[in-house]
Amino acid sequence: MHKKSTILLVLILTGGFFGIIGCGPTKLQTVKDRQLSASLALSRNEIAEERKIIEQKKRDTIKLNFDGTEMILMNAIQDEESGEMVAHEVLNAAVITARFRNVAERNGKIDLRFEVIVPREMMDPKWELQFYPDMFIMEDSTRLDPVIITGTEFRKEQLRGYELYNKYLRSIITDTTAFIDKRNLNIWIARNIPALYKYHNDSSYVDTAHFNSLFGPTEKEAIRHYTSWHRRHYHEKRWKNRNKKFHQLVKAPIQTEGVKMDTVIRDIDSCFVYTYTQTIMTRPKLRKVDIVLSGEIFQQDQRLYTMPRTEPLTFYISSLSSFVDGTERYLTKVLERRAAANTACYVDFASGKSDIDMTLGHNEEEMGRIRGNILTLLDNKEFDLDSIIISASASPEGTTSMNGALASRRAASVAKYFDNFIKHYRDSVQMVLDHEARNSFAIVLGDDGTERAGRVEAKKADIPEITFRSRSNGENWPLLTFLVDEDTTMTEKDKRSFLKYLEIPNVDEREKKMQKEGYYRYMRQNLYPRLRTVRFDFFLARKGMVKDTVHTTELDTVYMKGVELLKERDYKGALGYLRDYRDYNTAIAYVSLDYNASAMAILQELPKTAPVNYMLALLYARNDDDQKAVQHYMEACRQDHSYVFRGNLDPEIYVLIQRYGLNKEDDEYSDL
Amino acid sequence: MFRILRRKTTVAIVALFASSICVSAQRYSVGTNTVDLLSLGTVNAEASIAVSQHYSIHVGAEINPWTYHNGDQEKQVQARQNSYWGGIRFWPWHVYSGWWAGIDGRYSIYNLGGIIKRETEEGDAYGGGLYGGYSIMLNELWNLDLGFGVWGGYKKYTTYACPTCGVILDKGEKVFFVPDARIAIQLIF
Repeated sequence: MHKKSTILLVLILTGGFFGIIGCGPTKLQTVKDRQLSASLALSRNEIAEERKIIEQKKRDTIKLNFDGTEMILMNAIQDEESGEMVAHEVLNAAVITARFRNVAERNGKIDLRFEVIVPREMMDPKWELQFYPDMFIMEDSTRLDPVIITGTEFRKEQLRGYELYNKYLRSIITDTTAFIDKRNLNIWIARNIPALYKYHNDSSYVDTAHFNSLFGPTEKEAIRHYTSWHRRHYHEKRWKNRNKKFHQLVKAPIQTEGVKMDTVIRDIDSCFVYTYTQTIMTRPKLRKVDIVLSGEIFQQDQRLYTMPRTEPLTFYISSLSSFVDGTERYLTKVLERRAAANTACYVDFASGKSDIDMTLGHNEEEMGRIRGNILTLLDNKEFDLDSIIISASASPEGTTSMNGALASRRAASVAKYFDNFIKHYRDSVQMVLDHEARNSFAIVLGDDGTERAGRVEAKKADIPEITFRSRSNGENWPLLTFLVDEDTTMTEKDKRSFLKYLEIPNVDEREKKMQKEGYYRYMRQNLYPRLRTVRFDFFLARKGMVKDTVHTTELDTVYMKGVELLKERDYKGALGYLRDYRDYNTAIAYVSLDYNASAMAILQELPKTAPVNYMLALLYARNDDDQKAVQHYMEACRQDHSYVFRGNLDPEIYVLIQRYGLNKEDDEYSDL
Repeated sequence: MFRILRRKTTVAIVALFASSICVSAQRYSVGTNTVDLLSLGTVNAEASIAVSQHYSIHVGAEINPWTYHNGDQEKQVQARQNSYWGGIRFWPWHVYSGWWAGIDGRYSIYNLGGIIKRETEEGDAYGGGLYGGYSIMLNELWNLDLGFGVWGGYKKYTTYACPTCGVILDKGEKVFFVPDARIAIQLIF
């Protein structure tokens, strides 16, 4: 009896044992044999949502107005038997298993949404499944954050590891004072450093370094002595080894960073579906994105199985930047043959005199400045100095006629000075050229065919003849008025009085009467000298230009920079450059940024070309105005057949095509 | 005037001295070994002074004048002795705390008999001991001093047949070694 029960027990135990180890490999074997794999699918929610939008408005007829002809558009299919087009009833497709999808890039971003579907057979409470979606963009590939599915037992095992590790950590004493035998230390201090012991019960701060025991040892040494060093080293060693211990105890750590999702599966009775959303920034020339899924099965730190890579799921990216009109834009620029420059200089003359005295005032400095100006203009590569008009004005003291004549003489005197200066300059340039010619020889072929050394002809100095005209501007009353107005020494009363004098038409009489005023002296001393100015007007002509004006065009670099940014899909940046142009490209930038009203305002004013119609269709579709949207879309397709296909790429238009069954004829053509 | 000043100074010095005594370190001990006390009531005392961090000097004495017979001389027991010793202890950490090792020199006049067998020995013993032990600080004033050692040397002895009779069995001089244990209560001051 006793023996029997023992055998039975052994049988149960071995049965259980084989049961335990027998079950695991069978399941894994199935996974391995069938090469099980999770699959990628387009997000069903999204498709359903789209379908809902399509179905929501069950208007399958729409009235359109084409060039004055009213048309009724309805969703229709070709009847298989009769071959006639008949009205179509929307039937829900059971499953959509497309391997690709069109996604629209909006505002520089693309939302990729797909499903990771894990079959029931791949899941086990003891396993952890890790799935890695790889994203292929042009030449680059990026591993996206993994999706982790953890079995309950797997997680329990993980948590047990963490629990053990925490227990280990808790057992480590990190407070070094814990290793001090405080009882003995205190007794020792009380006996040997009683003065310090007294302070220990006192709250005041004491620098313990000053207290020595009778025989030398300090409190510090006592602390060292009453510290249990082997305990301390033991705990320090455990602290140092904690990372090693962590890996020993927690074989498969729970990943917390860089994971899309980590979920614990409790009931494994259906397949697991995770909707993965990844937002990526767009980049120039981005057309498509491929997603491939790979994965692994783990039992703690042991990898049991590597899943074969799935077929790629492709997202075709449609961007509005392909609508950009890259045509160069030019600015018209008018070039004038004539140009003018002027400067004023203050030349002091002795009262009533017209000859230039360099020693007076700042004459030396002022004349030097003008000489510099003239030389600069003579050397100018773009312009020739044509003529110089010199006009002198005088201060109002004395009679007008005399002052007019004086100013005239002064202008002539200055003109003569600079005429002489230019002549002198030309001569000196010529002298240099002659000197150079004299010092160089050339081989000259004689009439009789013999060669001989000959003189080089001197070049002629390239200094044009400059016409000087002198002019008198008479008494400079306007400048005086200005100077008085700006003056800070004269009072408001003085200024009002001065303005009153200006009303006297006879300037000689005016000047005479003003002499009685208190401020006259100040004015004459400080303001009058500044009225004796000489103004220079330089007249220039563009070199080699005969016509007076020429219109040229120049590339509008600001605009082109905006277009460039638009192509690169930097819409905000592009708008910064394009905003003021308010043209088609500006509208594209607005549409891309979802500034629909601004885009609409521009597009409505533009001629209705195919792209403009298409953009309008897009905007009306966004505003839920299906009628206008379809009308503009159809018009765009009529103008340019390629919009038939383009329509499928933009979700706004795609919905319209589906809802109203547009472009049916084209599909048939393409089928044929 | 000067006298008053001098008196004040004296008072101040005395006060200072007194206060320094109050807070001065403890460097003396007196104690008694309970093991000896329990071995037939041997009264003993040991005093010591610390001379440095690691060394202390010890002197002690024990006296056992008692004879136990309870009216029956046949069963008389005695461990009479007068012993004196002086030695030095080494403390690896600090005097009166923790481990120690000591040596001493001893003289003992003794009469032991009737304890295990009837034979009784009487004599003088000269020698020294080697000891080691551990001093537990109980509190600021008291220590429990544990120790064990061996003391030995040379002795002149006479052996009698029993504690009370005068029959000499043996007489002579010889080298001896005796184990010695110590569980002492000490006052540290």
